[in-house]
Amino acid sequence: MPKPKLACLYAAAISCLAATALVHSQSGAAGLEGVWSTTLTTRAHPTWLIEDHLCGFFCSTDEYQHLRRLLMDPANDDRSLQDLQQDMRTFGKQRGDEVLTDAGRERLVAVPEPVDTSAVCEPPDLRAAAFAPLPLAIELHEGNVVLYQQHWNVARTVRLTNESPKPSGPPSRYGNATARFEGPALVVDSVNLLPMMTGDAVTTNQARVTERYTPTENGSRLDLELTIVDPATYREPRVWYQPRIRTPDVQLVEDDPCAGLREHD
Amino acid sequence: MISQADMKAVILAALVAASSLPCIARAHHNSATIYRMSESMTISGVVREVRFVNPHARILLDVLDEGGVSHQWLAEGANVIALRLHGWTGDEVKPGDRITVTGAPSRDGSPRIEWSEIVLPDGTSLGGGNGFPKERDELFEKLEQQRRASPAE
Repeated sequence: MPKPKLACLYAAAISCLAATALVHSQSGAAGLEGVWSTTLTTRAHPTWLIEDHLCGFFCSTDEYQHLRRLLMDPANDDRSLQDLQQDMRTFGKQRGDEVLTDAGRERLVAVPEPVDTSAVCEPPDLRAAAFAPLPLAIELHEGNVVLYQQHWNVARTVRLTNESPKPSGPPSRYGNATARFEGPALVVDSVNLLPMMTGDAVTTNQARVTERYTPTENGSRLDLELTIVDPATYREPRVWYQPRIRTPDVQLVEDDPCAGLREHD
Repeated sequence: MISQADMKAVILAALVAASSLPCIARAHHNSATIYRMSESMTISGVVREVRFVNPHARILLDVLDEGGVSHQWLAEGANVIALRLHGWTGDEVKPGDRITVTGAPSRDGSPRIEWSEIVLPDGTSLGGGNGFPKERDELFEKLEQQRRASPAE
């Protein structure tokens, strides 16, 4: 029998080995690491589809699917892309309104203008960070995945485990999270989050946010689907989408996101 | 890709720096809350200062009104990280340049503009506006042409 201290070490070692095995046994692990960019900074890249450009830096999955239907329909051949994009936004707004609960709608009405968290020199909330259009770097380490966002230098280290995240301490900007692989997809679940109120996202601290990062088979593209489940504000899960492409030549750099805010207007 | 250790150092340094700095609450904005995004205006003036900083690049320029009185204007563009990834260095516009700026006017009538296009003294047209609207419009035009050439089946 090992002594108690040694037992802890053994347990930690076994846990570490198990976590390592978890990472390396997954087919998606190798395809995820690297730097990924959005249409904002790689606009001319031939990989992008028209719908990626029209979606913008991110859009709801409802909007993206609606847009694809519009583009596939020959009846829309004479409509301009701007017109189709506007059609998509109108459709998305209508769908967004439909899925809001009364409480969610009230919360949105209470803040009529989109809140820009950087207006007060504060890091973005989880959704804003995940969908920030600047580069994202993903690194896998023993038992952890690290998501580095160039935007605001947001770095999240998330434990790889099949357990669900458990609230620990008071709600925070990025809450408590765990990550796992589902086939090639990296899935990050977060709970215990501060309420969000950016754009059309409105949540309470009861929200559960799931990010699903799915690389394509050839590893050149990464699809992010972010789902918010919050019965207090949404009648059904709300899902947004953002495509990224692999950009190995891009490096994340040091950035002071507030430099301009310290200047006199 | 920079090394993992370098990356951690960079992120840590930036976080420490960001958390220790006093910030002015109203200086940054959501574009639509400060500018009339559906409108466009054009001004011409002489560049006083270029600030290649985040969250938005800034150009201060002196603009003469109809009465010949000079007023200082603030022109705001894209995020500097995004500008660099578009090939900008920060030297595109220099103090002393006479430039023409087109963009969205402020909601409150203050002398500021969110630029979509800057025309340099030699006639060179630059984008680099917040969200890169000029580049987006040019791309849409190109996509439109491609789409016309191969319509949906």
